[in-house]
Amino acid sequence: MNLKKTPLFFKPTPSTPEVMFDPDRNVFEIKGRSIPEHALSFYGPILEWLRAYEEVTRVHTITFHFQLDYFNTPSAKPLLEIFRIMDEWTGKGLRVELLWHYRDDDPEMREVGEEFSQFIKTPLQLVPFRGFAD
Amino acid sequence: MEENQIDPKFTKFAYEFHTTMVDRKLMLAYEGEINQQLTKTFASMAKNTLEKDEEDNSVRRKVFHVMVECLQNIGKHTDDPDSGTGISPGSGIFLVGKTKDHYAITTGNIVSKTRIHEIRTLLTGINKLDPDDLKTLYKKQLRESRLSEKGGAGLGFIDIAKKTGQKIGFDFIEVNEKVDFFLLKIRIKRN
Repeated sequence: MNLKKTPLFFKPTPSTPEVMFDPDRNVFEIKGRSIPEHALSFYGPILEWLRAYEEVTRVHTITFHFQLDYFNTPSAKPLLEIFRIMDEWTGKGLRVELLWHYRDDDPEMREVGEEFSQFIKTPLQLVPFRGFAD
Repeated sequence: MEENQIDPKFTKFAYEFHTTMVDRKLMLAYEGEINQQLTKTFASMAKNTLEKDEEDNSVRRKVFHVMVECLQNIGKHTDDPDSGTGISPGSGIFLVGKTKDHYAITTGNIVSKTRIHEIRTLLTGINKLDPDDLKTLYKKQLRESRLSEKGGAGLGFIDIAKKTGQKIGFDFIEVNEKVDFFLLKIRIKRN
């Protein structure tokens, strides 16, 4: 089904991050602040897209960038679910590159990345970047 | 009514309110419905104020985090049954204080007596844990929680304790036979 390969793009809002899933380049990005009140109404379609994508994908390399300045606890579970899906893909022989970007002045966010990485087998690269707190 | 159009009792109230705010070092006080719009507004207000005060980035992020978690926690209970107090569920008070050493975020809301034991047990338990235990408990809860869950208060409280490194203050006052007023106070150390 062609529909499943449609890119997924959500503009950032004050409560939700920017989402860019580009199936042509196989680069996925979640970037910004995630404080939705009902996390599943935001992340539900994202998880569905990823699960549907798996059925059609024939590619071998996928890059997933996470660059969150902040997320609330209801967002943690769906984020973990995304990591689990990526882990399943790795298990099926895909090469999944996971990158966790954090501000170099935010050691807590680095730690959160480390915590997520303990849930999965796919390596999660922790990548510091210079930035101003927004 | 006096010729100045203001009831002297009101003036007295306003002055006392002012001095109480000053004495208790409160920079923000709100009473009313807590919703997502308000959460966003307060969070960005705090962000701007703390930036202006040149507060450390890490302190800023912690204050923002605790505010969001606390406000969303109250907002989650909008659908609770009527308490018989005339106060609508999902509403409460929200206070932000600032002293030389710390910020204090306080929320107060009506909760059903049926939930008090659970909240008390949860918070007492969390307050006994050291930072490593909190990390372990956070991961356990995250692993075991279901995707469909609203995001139980448990994970929020654990995360607050983990991020602030401070004990969570809490108290209950009886309102009527059905409900109590639940007060939650969280401190964030300034560096």
